[in-house]
Amino acid sequence: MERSNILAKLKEILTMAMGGNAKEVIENCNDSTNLTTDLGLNSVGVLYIVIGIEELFSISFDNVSFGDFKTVGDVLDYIEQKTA
Amino acid sequence: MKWQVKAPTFGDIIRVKAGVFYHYGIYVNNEEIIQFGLSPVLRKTLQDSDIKVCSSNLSVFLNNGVLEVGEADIDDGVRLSPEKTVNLAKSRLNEKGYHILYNNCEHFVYECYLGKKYCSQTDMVRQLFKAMPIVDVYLAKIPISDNFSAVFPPDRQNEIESITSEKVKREKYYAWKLLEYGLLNTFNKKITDINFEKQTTGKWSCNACEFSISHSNNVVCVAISKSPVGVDIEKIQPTPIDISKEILSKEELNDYNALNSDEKTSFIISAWTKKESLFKQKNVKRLSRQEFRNLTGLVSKKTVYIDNDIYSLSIATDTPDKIRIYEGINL
Repeated sequence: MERSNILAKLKEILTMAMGGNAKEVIENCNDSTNLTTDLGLNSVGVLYIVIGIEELFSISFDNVSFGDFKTVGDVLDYIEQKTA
Repeated sequence: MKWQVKAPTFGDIIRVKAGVFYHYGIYVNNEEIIQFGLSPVLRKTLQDSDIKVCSSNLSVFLNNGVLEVGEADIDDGVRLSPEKTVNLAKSRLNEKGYHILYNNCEHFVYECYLGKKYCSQTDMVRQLFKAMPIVDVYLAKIPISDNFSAVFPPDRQNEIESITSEKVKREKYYAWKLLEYGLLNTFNKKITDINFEKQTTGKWSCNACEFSISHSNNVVCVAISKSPVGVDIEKIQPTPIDISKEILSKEELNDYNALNSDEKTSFIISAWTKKESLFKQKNVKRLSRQEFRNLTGLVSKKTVYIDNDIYSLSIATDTPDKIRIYEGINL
């Protein structure tokens, strides 16, 4: 799956996870966007994101901790690798 | 599980609202609540490895929230004895292995209370995403040089091979290849893992999603969705014969007749793709001319520019605001 397509879907997930907050950051996010300091992601948001990724990309998050991901780029790398 | 605001007793399963979700624990006494990690609102980290089964007093557990006590419903099964619940919870103190989806604070208490893992909250969020509409539309140019490889399923391969017109054969082949690409991109599903069948309407369907295919000139187009979808694309160019009376409703015909020649061409092609997309979405074998002329429904209409040509693209879907268009796919 192409990285730009993955990012487009990830933005949809982030929009749901952030409950309408940080819209501008999500819209303009890129590989270096930090999940906690730029997006303000909390544990509730993490739950939405991991389930959203599982559902929209049909991949499993079973052997990884979302805390290992620092940036949007880290998440994109993981999805890219799992969908390759 | 039935939840009530009341005083807990030894071995009860308890919860407190923490943001939009609940935090869960096993009640031993007011000084000892056993839980998998402290309430998420008190956590300083998103690292699962930092979270372990721990004990706190009721005040820390509640963090000013309202205490609720759970009671097993008949559907939940029989709860373990309070002694067994507390012993199980205590035996797991300091245990790690937290996972927000598969081993969280709710899984933990259900395991101690009912002897089986369950998490209503992850189920709820999962349902939200499952219900999210998807309408992905893919557009690609048919390559100049052919590099045919087999398509799946074999019945479709045979069907394409039996087409005598080379032009039509190439359109059908590359449209199917675009479908293969789209299924992988939208659902991360390999086409070979999907079951296809040809319906009595003549349309192919599959068990993974709804899809619709169209082609025009040297362009192929595929729409993929969770709900019925129809797509049609046509190059905007004058039609060899006047088809306005065949496809336009009375009201549309009045509007059409008031246009100049160039406007008429765009109007008629746009109306055609709109009705074709609706016809495909309905998935019926045929419609009478009158039924076709009067077809109505939600259709998203786009104008697409590919090379020096202009195309009318119509997508019939119940969720037009969810359409994502992927252009320039290399086949």
